[in-house]
Amino acid sequence: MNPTQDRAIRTRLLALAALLLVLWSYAAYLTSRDTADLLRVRALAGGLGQPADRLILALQAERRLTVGAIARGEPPVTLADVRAGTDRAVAGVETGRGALSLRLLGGGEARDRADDLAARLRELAGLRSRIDAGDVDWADAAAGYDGLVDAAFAVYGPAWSTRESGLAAETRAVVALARARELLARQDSVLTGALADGLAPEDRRHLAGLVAVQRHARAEAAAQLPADGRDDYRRLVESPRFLGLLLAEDRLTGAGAPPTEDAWRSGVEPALGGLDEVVRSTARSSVERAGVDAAIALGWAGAVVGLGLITVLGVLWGWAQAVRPLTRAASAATAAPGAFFLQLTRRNQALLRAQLDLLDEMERRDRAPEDAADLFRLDHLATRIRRNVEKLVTLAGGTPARRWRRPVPLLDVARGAMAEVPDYERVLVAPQWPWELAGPAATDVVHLLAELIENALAFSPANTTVRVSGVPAGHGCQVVVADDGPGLPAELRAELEGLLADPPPDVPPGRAGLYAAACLAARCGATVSLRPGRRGGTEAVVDLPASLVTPVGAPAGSNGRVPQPADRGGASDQLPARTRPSEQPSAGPATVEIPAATADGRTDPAYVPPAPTATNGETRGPLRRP
Amino acid sequence: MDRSGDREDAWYDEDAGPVARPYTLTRGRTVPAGRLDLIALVVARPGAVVPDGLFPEHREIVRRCRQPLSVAEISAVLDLPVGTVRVLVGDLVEAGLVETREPSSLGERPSMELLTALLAGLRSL
Repeated sequence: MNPTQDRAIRTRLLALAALLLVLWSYAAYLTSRDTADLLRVRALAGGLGQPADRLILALQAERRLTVGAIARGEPPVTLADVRAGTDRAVAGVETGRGALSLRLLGGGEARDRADDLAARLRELAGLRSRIDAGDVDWADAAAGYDGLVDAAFAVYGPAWSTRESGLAAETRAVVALARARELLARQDSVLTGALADGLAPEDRRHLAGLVAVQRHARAEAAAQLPADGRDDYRRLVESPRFLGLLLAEDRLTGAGAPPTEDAWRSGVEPALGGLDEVVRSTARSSVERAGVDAAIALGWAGAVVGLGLITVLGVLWGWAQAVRPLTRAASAATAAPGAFFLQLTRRNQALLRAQLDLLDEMERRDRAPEDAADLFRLDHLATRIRRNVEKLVTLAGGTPARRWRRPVPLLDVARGAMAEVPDYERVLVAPQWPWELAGPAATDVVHLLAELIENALAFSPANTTVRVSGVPAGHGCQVVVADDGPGLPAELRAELEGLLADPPPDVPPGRAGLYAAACLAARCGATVSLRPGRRGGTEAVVDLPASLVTPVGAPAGSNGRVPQPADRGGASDQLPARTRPSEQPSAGPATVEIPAATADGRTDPAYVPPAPTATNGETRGPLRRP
Repeated sequence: MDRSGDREDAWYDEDAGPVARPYTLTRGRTVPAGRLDLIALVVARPGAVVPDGLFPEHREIVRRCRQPLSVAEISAVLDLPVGTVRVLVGDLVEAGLVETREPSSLGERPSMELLTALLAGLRSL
């Protein structure tokens, strides 16, 4: 091992480390996004929502008593108790606001609104002193308090949740009901003042308008409540507690005598109390439900983020340890990296397996296509890292930790190889593989095919496909990897075939892929040859002898036809040669290689899947061989 | 080249995980052709003949869907992610081998809950 190779290994490990970190942060981001949102809403509900709630109730009480006192000409000293209550609620909001700015990184808009509320609350002292000095009438005093209540409601903004969720919708419904209740409280203050004042006809018209708006807002808000809240609300408005209010309101808006102050009080108090109970119980059960969701989401995010980080750190640590004996081995000019290195690399394989298992589990949950695509990308990155780790183990003379004793379907082996190459969307694997591969050779053949496929991808234009198919050969079979590259001059092909047949002790410069393929083929008893493709390009042919593959019965529903040796290149000739110009992995049906049934319902054995050209993105449907 | 001590660190067959990762089944595609609900029913077209060039998963879906099966059930039976099943079923619909039926079109009259939900939805517009 020379210094150049040593540096190459270090560079490769560094690149892998970077990939692994990207992988982990992606997974961590995906799973922690929802959790962070739930937790933020909960923090806001506890830290700001509850104090704001208490403040609103206190302001409403102070408003009604103040209006009554002014209208009846009572001295302000009677308001001392209710004012003290409001002051405590204001202090509660201040405390919540202070704690919030520390706890919420970038709580942003929610914190701005809390700051606005705090600024507005400083007007309270001025309002009270004008009231005490007798400078304002009851209507202006009520309007002053109305403004403060509105500022308190503004705290519950859309900024609570950055993503639409059940909790966000339920919060909006609860706040809407609390606002409808505020309309009733406002109506209560105005009527308290007006009744003490003698209830002028224009007061009555104003009140009739308030009643109509309040009833409408209440019905609208109730319709949006979650099911349990809606039931509580229905029970309340159908109960005797609400009946008094409705009767009093009807007398107020009707032409007859208005309700007396006592009749109004005995109607409105139970209704306000009942509405407050519905608001509170609905809010509580929403937050409790969100609590369960958050606990689940937090547990899940913890597992993904935590396990993922442990995996990443473990792999990085393992590599750091592995590089040292490698470099020592290099200076001692020994070829074998030693048992220590193998053991550490094996530990990395265990960590990668844990990571892939976790990804498997995540992929199984029903997700939006974009999230599923992100997970596939993660999976692909992890699979490529595993390929490199297993290759290191194999080329150092060890055996990768995942092993098969039972035969493995050859289709899975081909797909396993496809999974390990960059740009796998360009790889078309033929559907029919009536063979099984001996289990012990599975990882070697997967990696061998991956080297050949990656090579074919690298030496062919980006808008072409690489086709992988199997054809019978003697008692075994051949796997053909066909590309549409420029093809190989005969001399170069002979040189490369020499390399493939008999790998030299050292890696020839620029031939790392084929060198690895040669080593892997020698290990599992396969042979690799190269030949010009029938349509140009190059075909790499892997001969799997009968000792490695066994034929399996044609799958049910098939007519039993297997590709004949006469079809040189076999099924690969039936796969499209070009990718679509605008092809994305998720481009949909245009990339499907499904043969369609012919019009009379029978299948056409000579079916050729659509072979669109690079200039025609719309060609599809069954094209048949003439 | 196996060392005797290695065996404890190795895992075999099922323990080794799938040979092929799930994204290879759809070549990375995650968007199915057409919308497919989790409880949409998939049924093989009467008289449809399964052509040769189908992947085993496609073939298995057509075979299982001689009786109507929901997307969720197919996912469970084939032990594949739901997203992958959606894409595969979408392929088969395109190829005319299966049909899908949205569950609401099964001929039942809409329930009271549905109507109430619809009303609430209209109100919130």
